[in-house]
Amino acid sequence: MSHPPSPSGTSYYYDDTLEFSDESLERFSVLPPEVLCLLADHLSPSDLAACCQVCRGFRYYFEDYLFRDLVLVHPNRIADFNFAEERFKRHCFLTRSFVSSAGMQHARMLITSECRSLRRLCLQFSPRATIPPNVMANLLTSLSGANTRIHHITLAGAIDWTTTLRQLSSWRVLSSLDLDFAHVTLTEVAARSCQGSFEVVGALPALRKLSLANFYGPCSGLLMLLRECPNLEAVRFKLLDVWQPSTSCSAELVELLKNVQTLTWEASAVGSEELGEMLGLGSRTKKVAIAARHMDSLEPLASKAPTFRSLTLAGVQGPFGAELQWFLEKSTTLQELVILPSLQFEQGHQTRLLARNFHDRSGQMRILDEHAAGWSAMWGCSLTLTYLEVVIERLQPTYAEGISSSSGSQSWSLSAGCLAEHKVVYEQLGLLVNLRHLRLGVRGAEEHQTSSLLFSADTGLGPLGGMKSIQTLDLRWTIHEIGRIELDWFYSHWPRLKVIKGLTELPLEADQRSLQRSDGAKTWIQEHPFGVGHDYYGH
Amino acid sequence: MPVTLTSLDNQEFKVDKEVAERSILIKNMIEDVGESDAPIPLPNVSAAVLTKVIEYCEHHRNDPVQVQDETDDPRKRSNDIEEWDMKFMQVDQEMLFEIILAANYLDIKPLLDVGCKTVANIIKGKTPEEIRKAFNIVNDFTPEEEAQIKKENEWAEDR
Repeated sequence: MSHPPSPSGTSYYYDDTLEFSDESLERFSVLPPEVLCLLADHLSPSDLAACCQVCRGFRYYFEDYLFRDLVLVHPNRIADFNFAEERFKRHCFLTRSFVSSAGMQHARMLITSECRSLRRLCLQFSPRATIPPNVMANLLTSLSGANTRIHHITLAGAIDWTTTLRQLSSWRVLSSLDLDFAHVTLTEVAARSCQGSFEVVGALPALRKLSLANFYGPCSGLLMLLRECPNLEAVRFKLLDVWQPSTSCSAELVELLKNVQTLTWEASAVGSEELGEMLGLGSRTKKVAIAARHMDSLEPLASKAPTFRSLTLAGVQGPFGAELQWFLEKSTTLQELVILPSLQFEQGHQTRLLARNFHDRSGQMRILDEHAAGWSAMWGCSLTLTYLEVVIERLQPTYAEGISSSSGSQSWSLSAGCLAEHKVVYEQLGLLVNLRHLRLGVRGAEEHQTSSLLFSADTGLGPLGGMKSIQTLDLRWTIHEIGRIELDWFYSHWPRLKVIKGLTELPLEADQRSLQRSDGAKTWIQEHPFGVGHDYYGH
Repeated sequence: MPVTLTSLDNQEFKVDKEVAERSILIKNMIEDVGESDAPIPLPNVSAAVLTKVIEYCEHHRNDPVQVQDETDDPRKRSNDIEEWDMKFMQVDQEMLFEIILAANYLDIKPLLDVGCKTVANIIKGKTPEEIRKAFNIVNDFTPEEEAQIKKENEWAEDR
């Protein structure tokens, strides 16, 4: 029978009567902490999570390491940890290892005595740790006050939020606040009431950046907080599924966010009403990113003319086209547009194509053309775009198989059809004369397929003389090529091009096209007279 | 010049100094004591384990001294066990843990590393139940506890 080692000599979580009698466990129990640490270093967080579920003993040994990535100050090392060091002058990270009050006291002492110029405080606790409220309050009190220079606070985990938030009210200089309410020990109801306590925060006139994650407290609390922060510039909300604001609430929410320049909104679902409200944000808003597991409808796009510079919509379910076209025609300011379809979108879309293909095989080219034309007409109408990310969908292997098996040699013309599709797309891209940055990818039909992007004189991309960077998108299964032919073409057509990312092996021999981007190719590029870089991407 | 090592069970092993000095512990001892024919006692290591450890040191006698790279993420390196080391580590679990302990005690960093990697490889990618099987461990959680822990650690699991 042996007692498990404790990394710091004291046990934070477990009572000392815990004993293990299992013989196999004993093997682990005799390993000194430094060896266990070495072992844990080789395990990923998911492996460590699995270990914690094996048995009590394993949990005891491995749980501390599960949080290792967050642990920058480990209780073991606290003694040889010098907060006076230069690197801690600006940032200080405390982690869940300080859950014992003694640890917190020690940390507080160190921080207050030695980190006079501390700029940023980050307290990340385990979602299930229990931090005594007074300990948290004492720490924050001693760090706040007239002389504090901490203006960026990150708080995460199972903290007594009401007490903690109250402390923030005295933080006049706070410019950035990052709260993660991940908290698993509370019941949902308790958590809600605890998270709703934003009214204790009071005015934060200097706050410019706000991030809330895993929030599901009442909306009224959130509104209260936003009202007290009139100078917000960047806001990120990561809302839990259970968070359901009422319509009136979300309308006011958007109203309060009117002056925010950058908004990131992550939710499980975004309805068209919410989307419409967000698209109607004020004239100061420059950048909006909305991500959802599904976004039903892009209908609001057709009616709004926002003044953003950058818009990202992730999780779009589609189909769409007309809405986007209207939107682009109306918007005079949009420079960046990224649309990332949701998984459902992809499947649904493909399935429909597939069904049509099987019913009308001869109509395939027409369908592809239609598809491409829909997209390209959409791009062609926006002259202000300077950044565009495009993924050209190609057919799934199943269609190709189905078609080639039913009609002999048809599969070859199929791929030719795909290339023809490129051409249509390129011609339309050529209309975007102000385009400066392009990321382009073709999703392959087969595994490990090589796909040339076919830049050549007749692609219609010639007018894009102002292009500064081009990058091929790393799409699953498909290796994109920017080879010698393309480089030569760039040289003669795009004199301002500085950044090329996604180079392949040179020279382009037919049988060598498939594999790696060799170092030889990179050298060749570096030595090339027009000196394009390959390693950085300016955007 | 050969060095004599004495195991826990009083067996003597004669090895080249160069081989013995793969162990930082022994290297320091030799430096401290100076030239001497007296055997070096290793009271924490059994003959069976010492035989294995010496085998490892013989094979790696000419390896360059390992340069520590602190910035390297060790998780990325756990697959790169040399073929010989892999074979060498094909022992029962009891021996495996004994070797790790001996390597730690004798301060043979590369051997300790290989040992830890080997154990880590047993764990990697397995479900909790598979880990229990691999190490012959009994699950002593109640179903409620198990569910609770699973929930707590969900964030760490691969998505």
